[in-house]
Amino acid sequence: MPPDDTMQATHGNELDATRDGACACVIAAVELVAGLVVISRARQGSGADYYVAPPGTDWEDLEELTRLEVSSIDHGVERQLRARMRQKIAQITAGAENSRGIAGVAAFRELQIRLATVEPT
Amino acid sequence: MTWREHHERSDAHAWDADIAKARGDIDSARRSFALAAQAEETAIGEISPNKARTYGVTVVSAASLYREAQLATEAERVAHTYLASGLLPEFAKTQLRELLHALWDEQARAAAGIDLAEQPLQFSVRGEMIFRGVAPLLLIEGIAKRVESMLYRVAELEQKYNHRLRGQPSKEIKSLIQPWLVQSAPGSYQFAITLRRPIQPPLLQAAEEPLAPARILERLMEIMQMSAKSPEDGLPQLVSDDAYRRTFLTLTRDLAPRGSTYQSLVISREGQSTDLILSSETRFSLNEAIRNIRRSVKDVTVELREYRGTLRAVDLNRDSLRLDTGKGECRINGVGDAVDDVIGPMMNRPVIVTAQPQLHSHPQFIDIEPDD
Repeated sequence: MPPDDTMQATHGNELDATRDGACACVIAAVELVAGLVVISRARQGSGADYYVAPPGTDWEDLEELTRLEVSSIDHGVERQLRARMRQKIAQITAGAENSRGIAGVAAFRELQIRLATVEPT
Repeated sequence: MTWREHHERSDAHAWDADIAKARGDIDSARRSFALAAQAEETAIGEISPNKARTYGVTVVSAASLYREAQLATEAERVAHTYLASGLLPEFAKTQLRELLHALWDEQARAAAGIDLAEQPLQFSVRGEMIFRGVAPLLLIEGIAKRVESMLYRVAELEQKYNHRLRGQPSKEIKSLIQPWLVQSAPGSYQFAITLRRPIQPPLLQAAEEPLAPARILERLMEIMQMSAKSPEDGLPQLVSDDAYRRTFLTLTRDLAPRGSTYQSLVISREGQSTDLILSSETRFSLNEAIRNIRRSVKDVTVELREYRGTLRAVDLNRDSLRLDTGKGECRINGVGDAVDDVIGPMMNRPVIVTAQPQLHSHPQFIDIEPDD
């Protein structure tokens, strides 16, 4: 379905649209690959963290949910993609909640979405 | 109501706030963020601290939402209350301390009467010689000067000024565009640059309204990203003027590392997950684009050659520059369209000049870059 005028205006800022597009692509990829859907969001800093679980999960808190860390780069060679993935994995593991997480990086120019699962230590 | 019900109510208000913010309706966004914060704070009371992850995430979320609602006092209250409680897991304490640090910076600036644009450009320098909070002075100075130059150029482009080859920006531009260096969150080596909002916008010849600092920062980010991503196809659509485009390409290229002092420069804006990563690969592709622009007006069949040395002089009367190669002096002609803010920072520093050797005269200038 092509975007109408309201949609175009809402996402008129290219950088915000790229960020939101990255989230949408990574969330869709996580559902396709891992069968997990977004259950909840929580604010952190000026962004939001997503929490995913299998559809139909009966949840009453975030304890058993998986955190999803999303990022994107407009373009980049393999080394830069790997570096961004390492950065996102480090954000999940270093000093943060010691729990399962998924890091997702969308590289638009390369038409790639990279996903990595992080297990608790 | 359960924790989940309060949290979901908070999330619904937060979605409304994000949509209002995207539409530019800041007042509605603030109101919705405030409602989201209140619901999230109520949710804290419905979850046991034994559920450490949920408890910690909810406290941080409540404080963050108050901050987004621009209710700094409430954000501080939540942060201090729960930091003092002894009930928070370590990750939440770290995130709350960072939030307080950012809040205090904003309050200090407001108290000083310095009104800075939100969402500054964040620069993160990474490499073997770069450590947490430590980096070579010349490197950081060079990056900051180039970004300053580009901010002035964006303003001039927006105001439809003729492309400036020589000298400083006009007083009007300088009064409107006032870059400030701000402290960024802890990291490898990070700093941020933003613009001070003008106190009394002066009159401009070609302008009806002053340039919005947020718009200038956003435009610069777009131009740098397009320069790196699609310098020959996408950038001309964003910047149609050849001279401006060449200048932006050159300045963006000069931000990218050669790989010795640092390996990458990551540029981002708060609230946007898409960063610009400048690496030595970026530098290579930008070099090609810059040389193709210059080369199109010269003899494309002649091989290019690199001349390395210390830049000693630029002679505008003779349209040339002089390098000290260590074995003598080398003169390069035809530097006419190389702009001051590209060449200026390189004076008396090692450079690499790409030029076309000539049979019966001095080499013809194509490009210049720092040799660091």
